[in-house]
Amino acid sequence: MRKRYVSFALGEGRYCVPVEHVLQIMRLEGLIEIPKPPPFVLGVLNLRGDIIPVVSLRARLELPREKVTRAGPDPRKRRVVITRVNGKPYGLDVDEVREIVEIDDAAISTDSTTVLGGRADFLVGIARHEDGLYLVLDLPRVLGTARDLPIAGPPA
Amino acid sequence: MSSPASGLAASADDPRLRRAFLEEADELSQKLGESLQALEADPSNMDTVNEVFRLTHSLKSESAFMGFARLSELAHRMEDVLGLVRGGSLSLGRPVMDAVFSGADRIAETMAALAKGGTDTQFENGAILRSLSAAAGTRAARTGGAGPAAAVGPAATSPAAPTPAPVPALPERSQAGAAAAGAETGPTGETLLQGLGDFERAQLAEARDRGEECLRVTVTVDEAEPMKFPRAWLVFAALESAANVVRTVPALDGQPAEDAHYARMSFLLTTSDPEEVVRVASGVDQIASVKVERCRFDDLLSAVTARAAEADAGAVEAGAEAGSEASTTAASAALTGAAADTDSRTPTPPEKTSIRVDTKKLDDLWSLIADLVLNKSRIAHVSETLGKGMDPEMAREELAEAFDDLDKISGGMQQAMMDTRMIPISVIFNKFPRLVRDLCRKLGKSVELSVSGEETEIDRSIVEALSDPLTHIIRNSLDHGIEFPEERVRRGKSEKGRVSVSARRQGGTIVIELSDDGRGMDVPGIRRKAVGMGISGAESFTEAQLLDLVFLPGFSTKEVVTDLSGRGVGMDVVATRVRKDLKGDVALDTVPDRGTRVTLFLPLTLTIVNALLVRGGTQLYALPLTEVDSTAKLTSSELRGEGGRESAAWEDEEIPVFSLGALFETGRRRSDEYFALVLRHRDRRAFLVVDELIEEREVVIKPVDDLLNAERLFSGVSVLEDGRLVFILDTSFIRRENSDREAPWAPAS
Amino acid sequence: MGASILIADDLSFMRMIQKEILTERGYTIAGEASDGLEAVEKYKALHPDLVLLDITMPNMNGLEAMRKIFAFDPRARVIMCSALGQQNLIVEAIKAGVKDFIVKPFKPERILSAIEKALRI
Repeated sequence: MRKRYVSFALGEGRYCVPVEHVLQIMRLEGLIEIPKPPPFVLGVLNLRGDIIPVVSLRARLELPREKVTRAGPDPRKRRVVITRVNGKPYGLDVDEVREIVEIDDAAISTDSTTVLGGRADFLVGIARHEDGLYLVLDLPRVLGTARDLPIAGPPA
Repeated sequence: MSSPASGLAASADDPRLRRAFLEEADELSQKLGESLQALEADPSNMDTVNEVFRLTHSLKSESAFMGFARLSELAHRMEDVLGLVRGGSLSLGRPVMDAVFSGADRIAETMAALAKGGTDTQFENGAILRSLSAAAGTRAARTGGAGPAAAVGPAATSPAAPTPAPVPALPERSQAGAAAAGAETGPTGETLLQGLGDFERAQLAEARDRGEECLRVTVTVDEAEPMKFPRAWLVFAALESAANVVRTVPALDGQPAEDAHYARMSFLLTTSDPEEVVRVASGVDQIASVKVERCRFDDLLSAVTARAAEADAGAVEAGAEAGSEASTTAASAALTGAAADTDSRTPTPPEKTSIRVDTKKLDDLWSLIADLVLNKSRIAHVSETLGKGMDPEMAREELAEAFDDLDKISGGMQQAMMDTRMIPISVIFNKFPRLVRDLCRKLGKSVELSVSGEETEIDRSIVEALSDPLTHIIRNSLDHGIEFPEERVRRGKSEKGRVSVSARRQGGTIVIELSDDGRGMDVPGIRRKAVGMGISGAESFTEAQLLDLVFLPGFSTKEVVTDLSGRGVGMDVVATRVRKDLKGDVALDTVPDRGTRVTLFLPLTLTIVNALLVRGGTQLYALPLTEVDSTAKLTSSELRGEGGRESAAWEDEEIPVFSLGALFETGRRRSDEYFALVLRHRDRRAFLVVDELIEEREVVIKPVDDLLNAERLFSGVSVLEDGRLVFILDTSFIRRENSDREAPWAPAS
Repeated sequence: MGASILIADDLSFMRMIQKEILTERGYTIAGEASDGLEAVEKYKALHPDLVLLDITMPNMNGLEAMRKIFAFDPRARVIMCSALGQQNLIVEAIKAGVKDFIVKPFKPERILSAIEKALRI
């Protein structure tokens, strides 16, 4: 089944998340610091009263700093992708938001343990696409909400 | 200074250049011969293949520069063949090697002739070129070379490239006709300003909210540019440095179509600096023209739907047969027809960039604000007249009145704001009739659904979190609660099962009930299971207690549940959601054979508490007043103990000393005196050293996400009017055995 | 006393031509490199205002060299020289931050115009 994903760049990699998870894309402005944050949480954004944690994907995926195509991505392209996972909003700090791609479920393979030097257990898998490889993020895992299992439907 | 412009055109004649060329090209040609021999001996050696490729590539470049077209062409053809070998789609069989060898020989001959002062035109290379092509002919059956640098020449569109619709002259004409209406049509009929997808709309809306401008930039690439696709990319990259490009026509992603299609590019973008956009766009070389026009966000966001854009594209294609006028009219019609939305589907509004609020609520809010302004002037007036010698007693009275009013107004505003956040629960309930119909069909059951109280209002923020549990409960009901029609009849019940959903407000709580008239739950079975699981006291549990067990993970597993008629599947998740996320409660009632009822209790408003605001470093924290016994000043001499286990005396106890600095690792300066609170959690008390006591005030508590609360130190978070965040501390931390209690003067890490 | 330019191309003939064109216009040649490795080393040592990089070079091709140069200096001004048909490589280079690309064989006006515009930014 083909699904649409929003893709974004992080260092050398192109990552993507399903379109239906994405609420909004915005520039990273107005970041508020929080006390003693986990290493991958940059802070929060106050969007119309909603407190949205902003996660540094680079830190979360433990991507090595040296592996960038050029030292430091263009700060003007940096964006926060506001996603909704399990009913709650979270922001992802990415280097650049790119295109929307259609990826076939069958094209996603799941046999790597590390990708681009970073952790692969935060990925659903790697998708083969005519434009190249897209790394499909497992958002509930990335955001640590994986333990909130989706409510099971009636048994088959 | 003489311009070198003419220099290279006559390069073949320039003796110095010619000499330099001959020297190097000759060397290349010799190396080519040697490498080929090495290749023949070991055809699988990729290094040699690469070397030969590079040599032919270099020969091609240099001879082209010198104007030796035939030599260049020959080298080029050889480079192509080697490129295929390099890329893995062609193997070095006998015919290929032979062709390549004859090519190399011919190159050597040519070089010899050139060395003697001749040209390459005397060489007729047709046969060799053909044999090279033939050798590479197997390419037709393969998909293009997998190698990254499979340089396969100008005709190198990948076989997977999309074939554009046959509308050769059309783009120009439909532009002329629709230019006024503002359409840019690409080779496959896609348009720049129409048929915007959700993502693009969201970007536009967000940009609009940020006060950016929307521009349409059209560029034409110089005729002389041999590679228009990368040139278009260069423009795109330049624009991206000053703007956010929302759409490009033709699209730049995916495999490129024919190069000529990129001769004219349109970009839809948003920017906060239009002048910079113009500057960077003009800064790209090999661009013949740049046109920048402003667009209006509102026009774009309310424009035609995707369907109309398809109709537009379709019309354009059909127009290819019928002639240009038809297509022009179709294009404009599609645009002007936008007002009359021919499609029954309404465009999806951008998510979450706006909310719908009942205007009455806004009016209420407005009158409160008006009152606020009035009182503000009142106070200003008082302060003014005080300065002019007004009677202080009168001033005091006036001020007191003004403050009273302000108090009421701010309370009213708080309420009014929260009301704007309230929406009727029908937004969730409306999905149920369809859900029930689908489930009935799927499961082969027959159910009548009744819904009431859908106008009951709930806080907007809990709608999403509430939707899933309610849906799940209904599913459960139909799946396991309601019996099949035949069974119902056998038991003397109506063939159609009944499921009812209701919501009502009870004081400060919303009560939601979902009930069915199905099998009910097997309470004795639950008791047996509980006893079997070793739950102490289970034998004497009341029915209510037993039913509560159903919310435990152990009872919700499928295996257990099949014993108990499957009713409890997933109930543990429902319970967690309702109890933890929504801060509410859920309860079960059942009568065997008569049905089951699930009741949810949800708090109506967000919690507001009286709290003490304090500062630790640059961060604000709040302690609920109910958990603060007192404030105190501690002198360093009063502190006893060390190494994270300090304590001090309070009343007649020795209680532990905590500090914000240690808890949140912000460190503290050493001092003689510290501000502290005496906290109480149940029966325990402790000091909490803070940097500053600020004030007592009411705070509205919002739940704090787990991601921000790794150490479970917070019970919530509040947002002040000025946007600052206040974290509400959960005082239970004073009970933790190994909590971090370094000396208040621990250095910042 | 014009801007300083580093020329990287494995063919001495090509380097010679570029040198001629550039010095005629008044640019200074910061240095020459005949492969990618040398190009990166010389970039780091000489800090030219701009570098002309050929895509196809031995020991390290132009794209690799470009990446290393950008890693060293994100503000580097790089112009890529390529042959016809290498468009995917060029697009890669553009995504990485190359200022312009020139297709060989090129006319002198072309290379001068590209350099002039690149230096302006």
